[in-house]
Amino acid sequence: MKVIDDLLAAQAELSRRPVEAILAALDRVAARWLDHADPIRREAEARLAETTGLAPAMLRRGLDETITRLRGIGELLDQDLGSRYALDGFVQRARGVRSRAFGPGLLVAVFSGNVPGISSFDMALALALKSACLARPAREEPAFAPLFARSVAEVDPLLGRCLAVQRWSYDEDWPYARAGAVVVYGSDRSVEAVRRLVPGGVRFLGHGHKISFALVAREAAVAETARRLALDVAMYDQQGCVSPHMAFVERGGPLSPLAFAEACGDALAELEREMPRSRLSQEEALALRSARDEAEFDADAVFGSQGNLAWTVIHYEAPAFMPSPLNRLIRTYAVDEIGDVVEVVSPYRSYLQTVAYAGPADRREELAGRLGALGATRVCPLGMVQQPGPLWRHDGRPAAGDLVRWIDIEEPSGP
Amino acid sequence: MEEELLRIFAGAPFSFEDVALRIFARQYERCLPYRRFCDRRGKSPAQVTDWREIPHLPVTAFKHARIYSGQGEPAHYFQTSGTTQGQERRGRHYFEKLDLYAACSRPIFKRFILPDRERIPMLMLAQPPAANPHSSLSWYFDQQAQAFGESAAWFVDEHGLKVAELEAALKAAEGPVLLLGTAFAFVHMVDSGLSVRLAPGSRVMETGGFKGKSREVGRDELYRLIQGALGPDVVCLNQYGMTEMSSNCYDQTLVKGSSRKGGPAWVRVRMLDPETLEEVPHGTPGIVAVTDLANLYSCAFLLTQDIGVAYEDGFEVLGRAPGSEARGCSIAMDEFLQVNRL
Repeated sequence: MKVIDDLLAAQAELSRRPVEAILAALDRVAARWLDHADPIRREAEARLAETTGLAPAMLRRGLDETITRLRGIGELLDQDLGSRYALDGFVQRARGVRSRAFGPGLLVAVFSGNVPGISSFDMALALALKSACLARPAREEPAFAPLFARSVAEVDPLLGRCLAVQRWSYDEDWPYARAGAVVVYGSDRSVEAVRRLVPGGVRFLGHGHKISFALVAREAAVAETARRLALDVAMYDQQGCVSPHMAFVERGGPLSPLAFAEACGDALAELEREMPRSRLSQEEALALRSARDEAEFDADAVFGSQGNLAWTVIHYEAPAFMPSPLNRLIRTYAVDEIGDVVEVVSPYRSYLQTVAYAGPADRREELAGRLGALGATRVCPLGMVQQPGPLWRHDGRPAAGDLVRWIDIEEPSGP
Repeated sequence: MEEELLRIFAGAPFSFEDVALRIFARQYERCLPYRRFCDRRGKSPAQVTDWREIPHLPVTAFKHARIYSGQGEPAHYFQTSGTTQGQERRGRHYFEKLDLYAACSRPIFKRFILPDRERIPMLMLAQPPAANPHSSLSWYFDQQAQAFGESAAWFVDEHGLKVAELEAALKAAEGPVLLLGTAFAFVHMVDSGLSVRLAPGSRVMETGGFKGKSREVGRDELYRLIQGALGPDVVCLNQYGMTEMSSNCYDQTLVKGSSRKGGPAWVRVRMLDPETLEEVPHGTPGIVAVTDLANLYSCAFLLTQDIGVAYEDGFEVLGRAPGSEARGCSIAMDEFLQVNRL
C-alpha cells in the first residue's frame, strides 16, 4: 500500500531528527490550536459542531483541554522512558546499563468518535517517538484528525508526511501488516474485531468498554460539588469513557443525597442553557425515555428537564450499580459510608476506570487503594474527569512506555 | 361503561373522544399510580379536553405498580414474559372480569384473520390455557378457537413444540387451516424440517418478537421460511399486541391487500417523538402509543417501547428499539445489560 510506503519513508527521515526538535514543532502546532482566531482552529470548531452536534461552547472548552495535553508530551517521555533523550541515543541506567528506546516506527490508531480532538494526542505522541501514524477516524467524527494532520504539515512538512488519516473497514488487515503498534479505542466489539487482524508480534493496545463513576464524601456534599458533577456529566454528553455513569453520595453531609441529586439537576439545567445537549438518534432517545419511565416507578426521586430529554437525575436511597444510557442521565445513590461503594462496584471490576472524587484527601487515599486493587485506574477531582494530565496512564498503562522497545548495553562485569 | 363498550364492540357508532375522556376520568380516579403519573405532568381530567393530551402510561409501569381501575379485587391477571434483559420483573395486567376482553377480541379476529370464513380448523403452537393460566396469548387463542375453530388442537407442552404431532395433523388436514403462535414457535417449526403443502386459504397468525431467544429472524425471512415449510399458498399475518393491551392490531393483508396494520374502531395508534412525546407526522418513526378503550379495568392509554411509523392506510412496527450504544469506549446501559444478562 502506497500510503504505508510513504509513511515509512518519511519516518526513516524523522528517525534522524532530535527529539527536542520534534517537541518544539509540536509545541508550535499546539500554539496554533490554542489560538482561537487561527483559521484551522475555527474550521475545526465549525466542522465538529456540524458533525457531532456538540455545543460550540463545549467544543471550545474541550479542544483547549485536549490540546493543552500535547504540551506535556516531553514530560511524559521523561516519566515513561526515564529521559526523553533515550530516543536520541543511549542513556545511563542503574548497574552500568545503558539503554536506548525506539518508537513503533508505524503506529496504527483506530479512534472512536465520542471525544473529538482526542486523536491529537496519539498522533503527536507517535511523532514524538519518531514514528509515523496512520489514523482511522470514527464515522461519527471524521473531521478532526485530517485537520490536525494538516496543521502539523503546515507547521512542519516532514512531520506532516509522517501522518496519514483515512478510513478502512473493520475487516481489512492491510493497515496492520507493517505496523509496530496498533492502538484501538471503542467498544469491546470494535477492539476485538481489530485484534483479530493484527499479526502476532505487533504490539496491540486495546481500550474497550469502561465505566466511570463519582464518589461524594459527606464533607463535600454541597451545591458546588453538584455543579462539578453536572459538568462531568454534560461534557461530551457523557460519551467519554471517563464520564461518570453514576454518583455515590455519602449521607450526613450539608446536603442530603436527595438534595444533592436535586442540586445536580439544577446545575444540569444551567449547563443546558450554556452548552445544550446534542441531537439524539431514535435509539438514544428511546433509551433515555425508557430509563426515565422505569425510574418513575422504581426510583426514590427523578429530576428531569420538562418537555424533552435534555438531562435527567435519578435518585435512589439504596446503592446499586447501573450504567447510564448516557446523554446526560445520571443516577445518584445514597450510601451510609463512602467505603461501602467498593463492595457495590466490585462485581464489575473489569469495567472500572475513572473515579471522580470529592472529599477530604485523607479519606481518598484509602479508598483509592481499595478501588485500585479492584481495577479502577484513575482517581481525579470531580469536575475534572475530562482533563487528565499528559502523564495520564489511560486504563492503567503508560502511554509512551507501552509504545517503545528498548535495547540495553550491558557492561562486562569485573575483570 | 361495560355495557356501552360491549355495544361498541358489537359495532354501535360512538365518539372516540367522548369515550376516551370518560375512561380517562374514571381511571384517573381509580388507579392511584396512574393518577400520580398524570399529576406529575399536570394533566388531570379537569384540564384535559382533547383525548390526544391524555398521558400515555409507559408499559413498564405494569411491572412496578398495580395498574388496576376495576372495582373490588381483580378476577384474573395475565403476566408478561421475560425480555432480552433477563432476570427482570414481569408485568401484570389485572382484570376485574374477562368479559370485555373476550368480547373485544372476537370481532377484530374475525375482521382481519377470517374475513372470508365463519370457521376454520385451528392449530395452536402454544400451551393450552390450563397449562399456562397467566399467559394472555394462550387465553386469547382459546377464545378464538371457541368462537371460530372448526376444531382446535394445541402443539406445545412443557417439553416444547410437538413437531411430529403437528406434522401429522397438518398432513391429515383436508382443507385450509389456521396456525397460531409466537414468531419464535414458528422458527422452531421451520427449524424442525417439517414440510407439508397446505391447501389454498390456509393462514398463519404469528405474534411477538424473539425476546432474546437463541435465534432471531427478520419477519420477511420468517414468512419465506414458513412458506417453504407449509407451502406457497399460506398467507402469513402478524398480530401486534401485548399483554398490557386487551385489543390487538393486525396486518390488513386479507382485507386491504396491504400488510400495514389496522385495528378496531376503539383502538387508536399514534407515533410519538421519544424526546418530546409530541405526535410525529405520518411517515416519521416514533414510539408507538396505543389508546385501547377496551382496557377499561387497567389503563387505556399506553406508551410502548416499540418504534413504529404511521401512514394513511395503516401503521408499521419497526420492532423493539435495539437499545442505544455508546459512541466510544464507554458502554451504554443497554449494551451493558446485554453483555451481563442482568
